Amino acid sequence: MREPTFLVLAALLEGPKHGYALLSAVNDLSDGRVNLQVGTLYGALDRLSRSGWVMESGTEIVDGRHRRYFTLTDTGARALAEETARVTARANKAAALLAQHRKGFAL
Amino acid sequence: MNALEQQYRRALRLYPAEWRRSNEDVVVGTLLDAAEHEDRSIPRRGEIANLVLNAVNSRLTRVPSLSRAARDTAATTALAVGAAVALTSAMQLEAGTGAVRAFDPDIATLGPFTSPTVVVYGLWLGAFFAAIAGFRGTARASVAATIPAAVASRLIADAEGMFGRPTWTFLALLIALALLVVSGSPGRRWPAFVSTFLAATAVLLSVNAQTASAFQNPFWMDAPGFLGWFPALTLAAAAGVFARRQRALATAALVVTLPFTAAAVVNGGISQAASYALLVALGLVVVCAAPRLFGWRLTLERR
Repeated sequence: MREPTFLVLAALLEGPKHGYALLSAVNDLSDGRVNLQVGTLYGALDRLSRSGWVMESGTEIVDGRHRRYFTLTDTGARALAEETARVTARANKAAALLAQHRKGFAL
Repeated sequence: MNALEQQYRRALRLYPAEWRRSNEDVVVGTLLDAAEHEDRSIPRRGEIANLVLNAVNSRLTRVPSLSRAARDTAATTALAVGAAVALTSAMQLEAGTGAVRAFDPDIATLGPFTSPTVVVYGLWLGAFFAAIAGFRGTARASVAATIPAAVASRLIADAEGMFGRPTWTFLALLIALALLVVSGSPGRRWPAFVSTFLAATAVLLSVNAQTASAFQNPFWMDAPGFLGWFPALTLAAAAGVFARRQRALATAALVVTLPFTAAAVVNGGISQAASYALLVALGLVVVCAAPRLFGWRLTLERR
């Protein structure tokens, strides 16, 4: 799973969000490192909708601007949980190896 | 509608009409929300280019209803076949340079090469070796670069009146193969690249040996009469592979055949065009109808 996809799914854990709210949430989640372009965001949402990981959950018009809300589905939440477990396991292994490396360095 | 909104809507025109009907207003709303929060009255840096790239990607992934496996196999096959076309064409074309120079020492060339198309060949071969070495991103970038390079090489060769001008049909074939490569992800297994490359090179060299001389007709696909065999053979091979239930490979073979068949239709004349058109139609019917007929998985999601 690519990082933007991971971050979009994670942002939707907080509840349904529209386009700009998702951009801001992704930026916050990545500590300002990932600044998604709008075209990339909707490309990702297109793919995630087709695979059933997110779904549209309503539209509204605010100040003449159309907003569409997206929600995380159960399938999307499961995929995110699996990816999180994979990333955590990998990070744990790397941390253990780093600790060993430091110990070896100290000797 | 302000100037910024007009700019955004112009960029979104490149998306497929169906996509625009359901998404344009929402995407413009998000773009304007972002501009307002960032206090901008012009697009963010790279924003328009990003919309254009996503529009092209949206079209590429929507046109053929191919599974990801079929697209990736087509990308692998197209990369190897494109490199074989580049190698054999370069060999044939450059072999004629000496004869041309002997005939007319003042003829315009690009240094020791007949035309700037040598850059296109170099990029294809570079992509092939990068793919074998496992640098798949570099391979795709190199193939993507062949598209503008192909157009530029012809324009430069035209302007300078160079001998080795590639025909537009030949360039269109290379561009079609390049689009197949960039619309998928070439595989990781180098034996697949090498075997396809060797097989395609052998076929192309044998075809070249039977057709016009390099001096008179350096671009082999402009010689009518033989090219129909290529799609016919690959269609037969695809049918054989399909019978063995390797659907992604069969579909990929058919898709990669289409640019060659189209070139044959363009160059083969009216009488041959009908038979080639039949082959093209058969290929298209199989490629487009097979997913529904056989219940193939249509998802294009990259996971």
